[in-house]
Amino acid sequence: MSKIMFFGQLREQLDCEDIELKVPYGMTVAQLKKHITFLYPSWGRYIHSSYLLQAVNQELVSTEYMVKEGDEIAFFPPVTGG
Amino acid sequence: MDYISVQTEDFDIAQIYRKLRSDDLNTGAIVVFTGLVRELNQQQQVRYLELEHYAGMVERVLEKIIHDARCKWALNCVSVIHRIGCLEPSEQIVFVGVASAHRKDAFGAAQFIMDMLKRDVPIWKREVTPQGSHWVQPELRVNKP
Repeated sequence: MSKIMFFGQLREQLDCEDIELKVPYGMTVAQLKKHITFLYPSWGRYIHSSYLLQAVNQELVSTEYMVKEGDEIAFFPPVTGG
Repeated sequence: MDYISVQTEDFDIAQIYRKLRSDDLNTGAIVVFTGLVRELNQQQQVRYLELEHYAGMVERVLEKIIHDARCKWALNCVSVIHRIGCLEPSEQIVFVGVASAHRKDAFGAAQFIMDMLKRDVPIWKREVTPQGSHWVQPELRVNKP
């Protein structure tokens, strides 16, 4: 299983901090987003927002990055710390 | 030795300064920066800020930023502290302290670390005003990998 986490405004929009999913082999982050939307149709408008960033195992990656089973995956809006 | 901390409690600049100063006898310059909560932000009165963070990734990104700064400047001790939770106007949010042999390295690295922190460190601010609350929107920029 992989843990998928949501932060900031996205966490609030989805009303969800994290989910656990079995990530099919050979899936990119972009494909994973489609898979999540298939499982949670009401999340589509938020999860496909082009301004979202994604991290795999706590490193920023592009949507073409290939995820694998056991990865810690996070989606979040651009950061506003400091 | 570098010091990174993500914490709810306030920090004591004098204490951190002593650490930066005593770490290496070759230190000839220390630059410190402190970020505070403003009462007025974009013409709105702020009652307090709520800061959310991605635990673990914040520390990793800060370590990488300090590593990148070390590749550009000759640095001794570096300290970065970021607070999370609820913070009221005039409270301290963030601290960057850089010690080096010469001032140019300390100034350059402190500015760089703060700029990269605002760009890359996974922390999100929510402003609570008398009219309600909203997520702070980022400045326009391109930061996708």
